[in-house]
Amino acid sequence: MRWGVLIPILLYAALLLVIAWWTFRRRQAVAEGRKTEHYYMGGRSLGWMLLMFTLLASGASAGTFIGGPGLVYGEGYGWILVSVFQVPTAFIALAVLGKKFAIVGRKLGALSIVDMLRHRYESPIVVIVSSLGIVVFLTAYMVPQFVGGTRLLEAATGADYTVLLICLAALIAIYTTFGGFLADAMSDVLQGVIMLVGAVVVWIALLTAAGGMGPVNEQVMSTAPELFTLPGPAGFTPQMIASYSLQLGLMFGVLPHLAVRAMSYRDSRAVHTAMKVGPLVMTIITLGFLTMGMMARFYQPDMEVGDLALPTTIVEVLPSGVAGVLFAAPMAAVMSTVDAMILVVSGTIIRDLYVTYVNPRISDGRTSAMSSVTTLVLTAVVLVLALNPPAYLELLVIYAIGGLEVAFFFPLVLGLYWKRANALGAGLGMAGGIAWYTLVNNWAPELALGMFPIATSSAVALALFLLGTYLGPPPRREILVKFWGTQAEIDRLGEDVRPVR
Amino acid sequence: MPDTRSPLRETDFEEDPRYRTATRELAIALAYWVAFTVAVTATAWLLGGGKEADELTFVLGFPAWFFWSVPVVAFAFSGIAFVLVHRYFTDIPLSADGSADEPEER
Repeated sequence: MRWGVLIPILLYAALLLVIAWWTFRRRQAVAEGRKTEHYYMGGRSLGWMLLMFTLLASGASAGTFIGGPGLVYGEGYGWILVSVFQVPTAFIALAVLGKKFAIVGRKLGALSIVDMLRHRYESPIVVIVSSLGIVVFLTAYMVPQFVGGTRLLEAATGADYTVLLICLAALIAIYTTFGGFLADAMSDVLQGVIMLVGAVVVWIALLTAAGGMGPVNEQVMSTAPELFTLPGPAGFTPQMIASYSLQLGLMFGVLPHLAVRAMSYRDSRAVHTAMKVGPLVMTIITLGFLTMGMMARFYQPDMEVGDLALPTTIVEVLPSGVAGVLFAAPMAAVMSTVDAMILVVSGTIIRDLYVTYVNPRISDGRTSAMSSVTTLVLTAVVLVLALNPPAYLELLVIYAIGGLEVAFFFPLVLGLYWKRANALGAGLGMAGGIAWYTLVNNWAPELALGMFPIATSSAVALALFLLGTYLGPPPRREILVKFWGTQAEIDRLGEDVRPVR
Repeated sequence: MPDTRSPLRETDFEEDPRYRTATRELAIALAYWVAFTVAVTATAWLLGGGKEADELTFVLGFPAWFFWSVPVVAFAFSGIAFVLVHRYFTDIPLSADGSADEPEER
């Protein structure tokens, strides 16, 4: 057991619990009728710093800190090249869904992308398929995040895997269950700052200890010169490189746990500042951690598992107290992704499925309480899955991110900005896009045309969306009023637009 | 014979003018994304595509193709995003009825 590494991590956990307690007190003070909105959206009150860090931290999963440096370690600079496409995530996500998403969200009282789709397409099939997709894929995706984060802690602290996993799950369960979205967002700021500072400090420390990039390069040149080249071992041809930009850049923001953040901010000023600063922060985090994967080659020239190269290097090179603070960074990345996903899945189950289809008359206070319980149960389910991951899980995980992006991008963006878009188009596009994505990943890789599978899948999804839209009837007037009209026009409809909560 | 006139050509209700702002900002973001993708891909490939390791030149300790296409382009586009938002994005109220002050949550 390395206490020097463990103590900073424990302090960090304690800090998270303080945040949870504080946000829980705030949540109790919220008036009846706004409780659920507060739990899932923080009352749409996020300032720029909360908004930016919660977007970046929830987006940057274990990949940026563990998987990414590991891939750079094993296959070279090409992986940093494609990862750089995540740099403008905050700007693109917030500007593509845009202020329209935030305004319509307020008008309709929408708390999730499923809410949006339900109002826009009025099709139970679209709603139920989207909801089930979110529940299945995001739950599956959380499991390897948990496993990866715990493995890393195990390597760093020398503590027992099972104990660490249970502690991690308990911590996440407590602050997500009691604090809800706001505790999530606030812990994301803490976690984002740790990542940002960690990227700079560790980078400088490792580079100084190695004596600059010169010795690192000599080492790489003599052992694995192909890491410097393009296409390199990973085969990054121009079309392959560019297609990564679809998945990591343009379409990333429609992932359900990120999109919900794109309607949670307070005002235009908050979103503008987040868009201005976000790319710079993400540049530093991405470049910092990924180039360290290359530096790890200098310290650990022959690791079998690339994922462990950077953590092992950090433990060896840095003094243990500093290493502990820095290990909080990957742990933070894992936790901020997982808590965001838990909340979205719990919201989908309770609000989009249970309240909409089973018990619409439920009171706001009860919905809020049930949401907390569901969050707790979900964490337990993920914990059990992580203790003993079932074999088919791997498959779901591979599909999770790309599949959800293909499914949601066109229905959301075209639904918001194109009046003609209708339910037939949305349904066909989602089904066709997912089917093609599965086909390309599983059975017919040649159909990807030398690109990342998301490229041809998006083309198919878009084509089917357009086809379905022109075959089906245009949306009824009420929908157009809700998504394009002023509030006065919506009031004139006389429909009960804001859902019973 | 079904009614063939598009019901969408003219709307018979008052549209929220704020959505026009949002659509313009969407267009800016899409153009930015295309430019960023092309800049990264083209710079990397033109400088480094297909070269062997011993043909590469290094800038500040990084392969030249990497240096120009990743850190330089990423920092440049971080700056471009800042300028775009600063100059072309409009400050509009986000409340449902377009009033300037949001109901305070207490």
